[in-house]
Amino acid sequence: MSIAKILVPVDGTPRDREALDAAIAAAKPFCAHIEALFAHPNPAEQMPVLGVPFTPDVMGALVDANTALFTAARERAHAAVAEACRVSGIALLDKQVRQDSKVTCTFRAVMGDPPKALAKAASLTDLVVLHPCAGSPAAFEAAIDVVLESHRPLLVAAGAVDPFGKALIAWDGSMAASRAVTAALPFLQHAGWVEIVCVCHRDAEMPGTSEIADYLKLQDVHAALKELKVSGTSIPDALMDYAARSRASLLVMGGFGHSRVRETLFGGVTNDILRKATFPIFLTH
Amino acid sequence: MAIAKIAAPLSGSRRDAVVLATAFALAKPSRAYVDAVFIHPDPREAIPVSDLPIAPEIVQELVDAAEIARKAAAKAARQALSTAAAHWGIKIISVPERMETATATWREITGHPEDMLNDIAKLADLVVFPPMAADDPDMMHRAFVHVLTRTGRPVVLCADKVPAKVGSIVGVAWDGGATAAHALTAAISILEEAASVELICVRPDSDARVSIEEAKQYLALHGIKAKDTRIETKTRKIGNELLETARAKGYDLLVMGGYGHSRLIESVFGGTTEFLASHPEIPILMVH
Repeated sequence: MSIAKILVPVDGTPRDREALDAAIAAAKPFCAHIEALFAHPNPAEQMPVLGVPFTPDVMGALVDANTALFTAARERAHAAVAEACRVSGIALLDKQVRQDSKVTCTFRAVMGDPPKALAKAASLTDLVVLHPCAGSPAAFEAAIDVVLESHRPLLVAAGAVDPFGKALIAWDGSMAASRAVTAALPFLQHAGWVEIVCVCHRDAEMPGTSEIADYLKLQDVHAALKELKVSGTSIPDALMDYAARSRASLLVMGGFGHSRVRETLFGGVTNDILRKATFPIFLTH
Repeated sequence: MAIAKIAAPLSGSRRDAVVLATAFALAKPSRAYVDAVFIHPDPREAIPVSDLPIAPEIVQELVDAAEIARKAAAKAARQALSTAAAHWGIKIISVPERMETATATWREITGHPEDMLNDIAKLADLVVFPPMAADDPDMMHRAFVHVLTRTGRPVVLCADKVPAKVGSIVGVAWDGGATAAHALTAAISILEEAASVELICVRPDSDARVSIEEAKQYLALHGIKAKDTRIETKTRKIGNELLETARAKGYDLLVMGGYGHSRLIESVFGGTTEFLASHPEIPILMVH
């Protein structure tokens, strides 16, 4: 798979700039096209529920107020996109056009339920870039679910994106981890240093790594191997700690198949990992 | 970036020739490597489970007979690999290594196909599955459903004859749904290498959310100039219409999304019996 299109949701908050800069950095090695998407709900459908019917005047005033809010947010988002493009020397176009030799960008505003709008846009893109603090924790988790359910890879921009830096692969031999590796291959091929990291409990067996090492070698990716046995700490904590200490620019990991399973088995683990991270994380279904 | 690895499960039957030809055809444009895997059940599983104790000599005979059968099948599969590799100009190597041409490796693994398929699909960009026949055991159908739904990898269901080429003239069934979009993105590496790509717009579902224009725009960003055509179905099943279109236009690969959640797949394959009875004339790439 090649990375030709990157989707980055924007919402008119200060986080937009960080998300956009991350998308631009990710797009550069591939001269990809970036679509910045601003989605807002229908102003007429955002009514507070008070159990009392509104008079037409009150309804009208509420719709106007909502519309004004959304318009202001959209303008802020558009300004952020224009500024990010200007600073990076990227063309902000009116429509998506393939340009082989440079990164391009379009800004699109849609009206609709934001998670649905994100799902629809994500279904035909090669990568989605999300800011880890986008919205409330629930909104962030919902956004992740949307992206993973569309089977598209997700880059959580929890730190500066450096495609030529150090990439770590959280490997446990599972199907999920394998899918992350094959999806992340374009990034692994550009990374300056790649390391397969296996973390397991002291008494458990390390997963086999010959398969993944062979696979990477075939793609001209030469990966080092790090095996970490832990006792007393959780595996996710040990992994994150190691990644931070080794100054990783990217952590590639398999997500979880079904959000309900995730909630049941892992509680807040994925969310913890994603929100505490200080470096970008590449995640797949 | 193109296809890196293709999994080709073999069984020692004549279908191996089709599986290998399909895999090699898809491997060539990007110099991918084909992991040809002969999967056979454990000979000890040839022992029938019964309430009556079976004499040790009989058990031994059964195991020996299964082992002889296994050796013969392995030999046939290995021969099929050599023949196909020679025909397609594929180099057989013993250790995966990036080379100037597409390559293949041979290995044998023991176990139930269903269990083994996870292993072989793991790091594969796609899995080639042998053509199925009406009288195949249920296990084959289950294995197909398993690899399609549990591994998350695209599966190419082979046609019932050896193809001359695969992935050169491609038709993509498009109904605007999420599964069609998923199939398109999953097939992108193949589509990038194709000489011609055509989106076949099927009467859209009520929940169609991605237009054919958006699909063409996405493909254009990948350097693909896709054509589009429309099929209307009133009385005939969509599946039949698709195969008819494929025949008329000379597609050598059909791309479809979903299984169980897609009207397209349901109408092509219907229930289990219909599914087993269908003989795809061209290879079909499916993604769940």
